[in-house]
Amino acid sequence: MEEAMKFYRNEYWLTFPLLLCGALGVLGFTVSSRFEINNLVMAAGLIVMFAGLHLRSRSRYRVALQMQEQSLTERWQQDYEQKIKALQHEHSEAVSRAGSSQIEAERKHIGKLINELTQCFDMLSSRLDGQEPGKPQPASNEPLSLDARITDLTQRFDVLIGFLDSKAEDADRQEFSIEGLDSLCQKVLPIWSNQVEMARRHTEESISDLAERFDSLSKRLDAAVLASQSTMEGDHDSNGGIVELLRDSQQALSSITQALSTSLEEKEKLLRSIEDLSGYTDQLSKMAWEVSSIASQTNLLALNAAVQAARAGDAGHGFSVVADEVRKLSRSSGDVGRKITETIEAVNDAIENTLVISHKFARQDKETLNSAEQIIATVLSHFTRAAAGLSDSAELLRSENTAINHAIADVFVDLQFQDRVSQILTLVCGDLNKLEQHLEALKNEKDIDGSCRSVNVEKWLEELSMTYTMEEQLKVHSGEKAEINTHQNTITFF
Amino acid sequence: MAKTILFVEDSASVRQVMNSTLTREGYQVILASDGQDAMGKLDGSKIHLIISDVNMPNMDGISFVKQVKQLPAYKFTPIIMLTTENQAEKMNEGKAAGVKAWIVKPFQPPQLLAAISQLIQA
Repeated sequence: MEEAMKFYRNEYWLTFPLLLCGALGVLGFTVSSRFEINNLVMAAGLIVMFAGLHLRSRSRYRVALQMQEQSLTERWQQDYEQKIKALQHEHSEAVSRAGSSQIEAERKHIGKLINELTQCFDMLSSRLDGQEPGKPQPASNEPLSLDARITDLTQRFDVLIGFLDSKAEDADRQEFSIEGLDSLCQKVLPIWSNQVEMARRHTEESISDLAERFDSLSKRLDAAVLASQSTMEGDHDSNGGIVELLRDSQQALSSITQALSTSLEEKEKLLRSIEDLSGYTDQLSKMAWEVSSIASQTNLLALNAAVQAARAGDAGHGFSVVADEVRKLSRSSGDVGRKITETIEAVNDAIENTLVISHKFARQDKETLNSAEQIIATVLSHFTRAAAGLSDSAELLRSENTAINHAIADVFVDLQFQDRVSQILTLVCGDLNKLEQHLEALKNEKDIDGSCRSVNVEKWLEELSMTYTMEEQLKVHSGEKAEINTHQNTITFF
Repeated sequence: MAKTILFVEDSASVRQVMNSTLTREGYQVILASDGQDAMGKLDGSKIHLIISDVNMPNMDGISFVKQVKQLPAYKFTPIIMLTTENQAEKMNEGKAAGVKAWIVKPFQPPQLLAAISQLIQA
């Protein structure tokens, strides 16, 4: 084959010089024959012949090359297969040597597990009071192989599962067939639902009423504080509070005492005038005494005149008459003077009495004024203290009102439990109604076709859990103890 | 002039509590017992804030919010959800519907009033 290849390859490569020589010959021949047409045709024929020779040689070379490649591939493949087989053999021997000990250990471990499993099965069998069906009896005392023991255990396991399934179905049938339970549920569930709903409504009404009462209480307290404040400090509509009233009263009473003081001063002026009047009466007494003295002198003069008239005789008769009349006048004047003196003394006595009484009244008025001032001061002081006490009470009332309002706000927070309780009870009511409807549907199906559909408990519980709105409900649903958080106050802004 | 707040809640006691709390603070309060009732009270007059529960009969809070956001007069009215719901899924639903704040009951009046004041002035 290789010889043929060499031949073809040589031939192939030989065609190129031949082709080149032919072409050069043709070209030389053509040039030398001055491009005659016959020569050109012959040259072309030669070129075509050499070209054909070249193509044939190349195709034969390719065929030979393919054959050589195929033979080489087959030979190498055989060599590789032999080598791979040898390596695989070596590797399997090594692996089998290395793993034999591990396999042995695993075998022992599996044997031990199978023994334990067998013991467990035996214990389960004894717990089932020997009711485990299909338990094979050992045919002989010879130890079984692992495969045989596993097959045996698998069979026992399958039979046991079937046995337990049948037991569970029996139990379900027994449970479902508790006489009158479905009828009882159908009758008792709406009652429970209505009772819960009634309790929910009752709670809601009571809480609403309670909230209203607290609100009213708070408003009344506010009104009381406002009234107290307006009493103390006044408001926009009234004229003022107690403080202003006290100030006005103090001013009014001060003006009264001022008026009284002025009146006292006027009385003292009057007294001084009366005292001055007593000075005039002294002068009047003196004047009356002077009148009496003049009358006495006139009387004496008239007496002397009468004596001289008597001495004159008849001529003095007329003069004696005049002297008598003068003497009468002097006596009358003396009488008048005495009367004036008596009157002046009476006036003096009256003035003195008036002065005494006026002084007494002035003293009394002064004492009364002092007493009134003291009483007014005392009363105002009492009022001021009372107002201060009222102010303190108002302040206390205000602070207490603030504290009570805070307490009421806390009560409002606590009262919101009703909404949470209401939602929980509404969900329970809804589920009770759903159960009642489900039982009714089951009963109808049983009446129609005699078949009885079971309740998918897991699905039921899942649907129930989907209706919860609070984490506490989910926790209770999953059997956890739910912490009741009454002051969580979570605000999330978006 | 007093700001007006629409409060939607099916629980009469919570309505009472909120009415008292908000009135005391000087707000004018319009009360509604569920979403449907509240929709009937949106007559175009100015409402500065809406507070709504989530779980209510006839129309729940989220549906109510979606309908309110379709009314041109109340499209930009801030809405607070006041509810016992504290699950993230529901909160995200509310956020997507256009709710501005989510308050879980029981609420503390001072914090609620602070949130109201913040949203009304915003």
